[in-house]
Amino acid sequence: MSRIFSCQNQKEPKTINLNAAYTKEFFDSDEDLDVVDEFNIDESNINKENNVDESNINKENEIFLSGQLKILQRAWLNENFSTEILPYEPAFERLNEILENQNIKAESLTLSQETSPIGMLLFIDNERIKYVMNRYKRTRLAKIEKYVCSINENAEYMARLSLPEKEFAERYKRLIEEHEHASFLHVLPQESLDVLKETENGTETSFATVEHPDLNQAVFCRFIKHVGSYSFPSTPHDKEILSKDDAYLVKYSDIRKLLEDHSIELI
Amino acid sequence: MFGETAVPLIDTTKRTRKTQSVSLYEGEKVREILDEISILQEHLESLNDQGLNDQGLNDQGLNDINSPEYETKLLIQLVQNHDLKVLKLYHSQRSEKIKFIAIQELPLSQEMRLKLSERERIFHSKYSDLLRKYKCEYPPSLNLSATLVPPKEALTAVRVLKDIGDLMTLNGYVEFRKGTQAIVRKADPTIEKLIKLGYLKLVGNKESTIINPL
Repeated sequence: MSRIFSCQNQKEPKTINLNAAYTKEFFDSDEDLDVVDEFNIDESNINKENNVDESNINKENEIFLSGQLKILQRAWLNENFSTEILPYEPAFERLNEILENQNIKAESLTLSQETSPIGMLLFIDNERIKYVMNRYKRTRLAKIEKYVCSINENAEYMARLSLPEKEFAERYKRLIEEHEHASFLHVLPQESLDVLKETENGTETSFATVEHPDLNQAVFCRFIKHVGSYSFPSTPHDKEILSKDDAYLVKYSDIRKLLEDHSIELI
Repeated sequence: MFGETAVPLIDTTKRTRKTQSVSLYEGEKVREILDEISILQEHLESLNDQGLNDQGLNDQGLNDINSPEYETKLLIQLVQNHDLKVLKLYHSQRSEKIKFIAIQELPLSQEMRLKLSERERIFHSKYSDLLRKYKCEYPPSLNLSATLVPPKEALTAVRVLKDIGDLMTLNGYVEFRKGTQAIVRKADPTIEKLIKLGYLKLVGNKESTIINPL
């Protein structure tokens, strides 16, 4: 059953099969999200035939909507466990549009009957979607703040941010530098600070807000696709057969490429 | 001995690491460390000048690995390095806490204001401005400052702790009189803000822990 209800369902509340696992399933981070791959999300596919009956369209829409949510859930968990910032997930924008439509539906339902069960369900559903969206954004924001200098210096990382995030990163960097300078860095002239930075080069520490993501950190990952014979970059001579649902504890730098290809998810 | 002035600040940083509230700004200790760095800098500059006077135009004495001046220079830089690291750690730990207050849209209370340094108060207001600008681009249906606790129900009961009067909520007009209870929508930004400010209290809900991402 889809977690997002359509208009069709509102008229026929009896057809909604609310099972007990509904509430538990939603925020379970270990939930198998592989179903998303089967849906092969493509808007053009959904509305390609104009003659299909309304119920079919609704069903496909439901699959599309829940697929988007699952994509965002996976993006949130990946973002949470990866050490570097990951590409911005466009499913966020699509989900936002859906959320607004669903909110209007819920408002209209509760306007006629304040404790309308379907209206309440829609409200809870909306809150859950909002929670995932909020967590995703806040996780990214916290990461941008943590690695603000390395993100601003690295064009690849900057390209991964959305436009508001880019602006935020630039402004935040200026703010934090200004704060550090006014609080304690003003005591030494810039030349002396540069000299001290040079002596610290080996350990990559300095007094500006530089913190780099540790790409050698160990992460848990699970394969969501069959990859086949593969050797991790840190152990080039050992070949392993990687199949779907295999879970590994590896260095982040080893699975960086696989994460980009959407072959794995972080757990 | 040089470097020892930083020890009390290290202890303070360590002690306040896990606390959520911001402690009083240790201005005196910070000033002592800054003074030490300045004195060392003056010493280093006098060494430089001495090197220039003794050996003509280039300061070979300071770059010769075996000379005692070189050793002194290295030692001074080591202590300065250590002091700056301690200051950075202390200030960054405090700014993290200030940022957390700002993202929850909590106003700085008078007590809190006294605990912060002037620079930190400026930082708080500038960071709040930065967040406000970011929120302008944020979808209006979402609340960036929402408490990050998974929602379990749409409606919740709240107890009114201070008189508020009539308020427009997502459920329409609700009268909030001290001592009464009301059923409201939990995700209502107005209600969330009133709970954070201490005007309302959730009834029968123990999940009020605030989660900080990362």
